Amino acid sequence: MPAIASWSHVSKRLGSTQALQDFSLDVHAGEVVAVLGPNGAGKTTALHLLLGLLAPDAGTVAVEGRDPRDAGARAAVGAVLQTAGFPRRLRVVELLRQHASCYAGARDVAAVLDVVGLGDRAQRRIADLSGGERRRVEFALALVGNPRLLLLDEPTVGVDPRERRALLDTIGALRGAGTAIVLTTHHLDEAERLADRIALLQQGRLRQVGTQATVKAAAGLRAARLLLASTLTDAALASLPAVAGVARREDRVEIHSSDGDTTLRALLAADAGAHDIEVRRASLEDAYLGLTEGAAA
Amino acid sequence: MTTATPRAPLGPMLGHEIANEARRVLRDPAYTAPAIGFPVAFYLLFTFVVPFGRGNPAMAEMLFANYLTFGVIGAMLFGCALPLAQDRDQGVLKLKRTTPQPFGVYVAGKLVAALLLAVAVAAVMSAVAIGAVGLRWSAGQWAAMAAVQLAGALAFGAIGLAIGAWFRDNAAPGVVNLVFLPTAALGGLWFPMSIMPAFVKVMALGLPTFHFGELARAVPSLGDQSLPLSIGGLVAWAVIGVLLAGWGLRRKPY
Repeated sequence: MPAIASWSHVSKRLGSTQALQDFSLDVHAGEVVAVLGPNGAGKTTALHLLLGLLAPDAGTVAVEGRDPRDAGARAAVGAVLQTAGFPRRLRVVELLRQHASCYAGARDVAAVLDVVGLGDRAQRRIADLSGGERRRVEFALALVGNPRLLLLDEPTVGVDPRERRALLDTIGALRGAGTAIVLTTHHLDEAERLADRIALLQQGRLRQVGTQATVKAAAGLRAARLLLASTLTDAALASLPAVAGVARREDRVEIHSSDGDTTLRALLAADAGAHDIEVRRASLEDAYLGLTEGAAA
Repeated sequence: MTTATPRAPLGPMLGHEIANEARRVLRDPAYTAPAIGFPVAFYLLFTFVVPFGRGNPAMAEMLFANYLTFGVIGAMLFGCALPLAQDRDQGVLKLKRTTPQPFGVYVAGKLVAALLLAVAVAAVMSAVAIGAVGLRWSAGQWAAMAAVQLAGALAFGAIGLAIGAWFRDNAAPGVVNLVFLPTAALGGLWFPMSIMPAFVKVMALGLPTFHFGELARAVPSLGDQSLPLSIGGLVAWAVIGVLLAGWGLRRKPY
């Protein structure tokens, strides 16, 4: 499957910092790629390159095979940026109509406002909207051109939990409709919920890329917590392989394991009556913290 | 893979851009009140209170030409510089740069919106001149004045865009006033050039306000210098404005 967007061996220096160094990544239709990393890792720079706001010092950036600075390439891209804004005296619908007029295959403005939940705010002035509503206006602007590539730079900042869930649902639906989506976020639960692939950036370099399982494995995270009811004594449980700790939780026992699979296999061999088994895997957050700390040390 | 992406038609794009810019400028009393209020107030003050123009039809015509020019310059400088500087500071320019809209459409929106403000200023000034002062011009004179004002407005639009391209949102209004008010006074738009000291008359030759004013005063045949010199001076400043604006926008595109 051809990539909709690609960075190929891209380096970019901004002032005195090397914002990106030999960065390569492809994004395909119908997938969500979450670009994660500490502040200053190069996430926003990577997005700005795809938008044609910046030009690479070395390497190539392409959207559907074109230079992103080409107007034809920009027609395929919608973006929610951290620092983009709009004139506050305009009404929501006036702003959306104008933005839509820039795109040949634009979507219906009223339909887009409904999608982002601003159907009843169409006649409001931008200045009279709440922070979360303004964020949804930005989302509507990104969608109205009917993009094949959607770039979302921390799209849920300043959005309340209910709005955030609606926004994440919308992103999921767009992915289902074949849109390629690149998302940066500090909310790892969002990445965990949405991302097909994770790209972990640190100091301008791509540290890891792959599915969530791949990234967790790369972090050495086979750790897990097992919750179960067992007939074995605590001492017997503690002697199972890879067990780091055992604690009683009412009628069940909680086992901390450095290798969940190994411990579980041994446990089931030793105790055929074990039941109500619950395995909690390490989260993406655990993987992220492990990987970024490892490199910083 | 390169798919041919159809371009959106330019007409509606331009229409929406101009309409939104016009809404933005004309809805904001911070633009409209001073842009219309100051030149009208000055014109009335110097026509009736300080009686330069009373019983002197030529002087009354000169005052109208001067303050009309003053008003149009203000509308173009404020109407182009402030929205551009604001767009950069608020991230609007960045958003624009991510769309397939040609940048010329954006610039046209700024110029036409400011021109509409200038038309509003000129309409109020003309109504006052005809109704309160009793100015009587031929259709040819009005047409000539409209042509002069349009040309001058475009030149000052370019200068306004240059200021907007180089200064931040919080500095731009101050810079416009710093450029606008002294050059209007020294360019002979507040007081007749004839009462100015000799060094001011020499200095005025370097000011776009003077050349624009000379062209306006030439409509009722009250200009001092030759038309080609005035036209040359105004065109030179328009070119400087375009070059500075282009340089500023290339240096910092968003």
